[in-house]
Amino acid sequence: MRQKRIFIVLIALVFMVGCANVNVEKKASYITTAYQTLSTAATVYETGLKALADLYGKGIINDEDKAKALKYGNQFWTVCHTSVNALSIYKQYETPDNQNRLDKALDALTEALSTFNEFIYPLLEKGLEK
Amino acid sequence: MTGAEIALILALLELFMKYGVPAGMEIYNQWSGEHPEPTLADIEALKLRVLKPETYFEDKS
Repeated sequence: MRQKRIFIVLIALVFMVGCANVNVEKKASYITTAYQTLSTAATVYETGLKALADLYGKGIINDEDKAKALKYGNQFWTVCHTSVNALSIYKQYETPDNQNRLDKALDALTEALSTFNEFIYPLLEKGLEK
Repeated sequence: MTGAEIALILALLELFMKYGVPAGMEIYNQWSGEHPEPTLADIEALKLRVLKPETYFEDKS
């Protein structure tokens, strides 16, 4: 059981460590860091949904699980696109207001990804047990 | 080691190889080394990459 949990939280840990380190020594630009954060969140989202879709195709998760996956996935999709828009605007007009909007969008993104991950982990565990 | 444990490890390996390694490598590449600041086109491309969740289930019904 412990091994499973290690695997299941792996991607989330990589995401958190990656965000925390933020190229400390190289002082990557705010735009680069925001882009990397978005890109990493997208990878976690894609990987999670591909895994769930496979489990659904094999009959390991049911229609109810799929409906919830779509619900949480759509929540993430919405905030992700909002964040991309905010980054795109900030890239063009680097103002404090636009940075503030981007910060808020990235906070919402992190929260949506966390909710999405909390939902998919038990389902992935179910897949490992089969 | 019991048969169930072996089966679990094999299932874990299968899932890890299928999803964990590619995703892990992709995330590692996103953060390792120096990266030039993304262009506007790079940023906009993220929108095309993050698909609606329904898309992933399309051929699985």
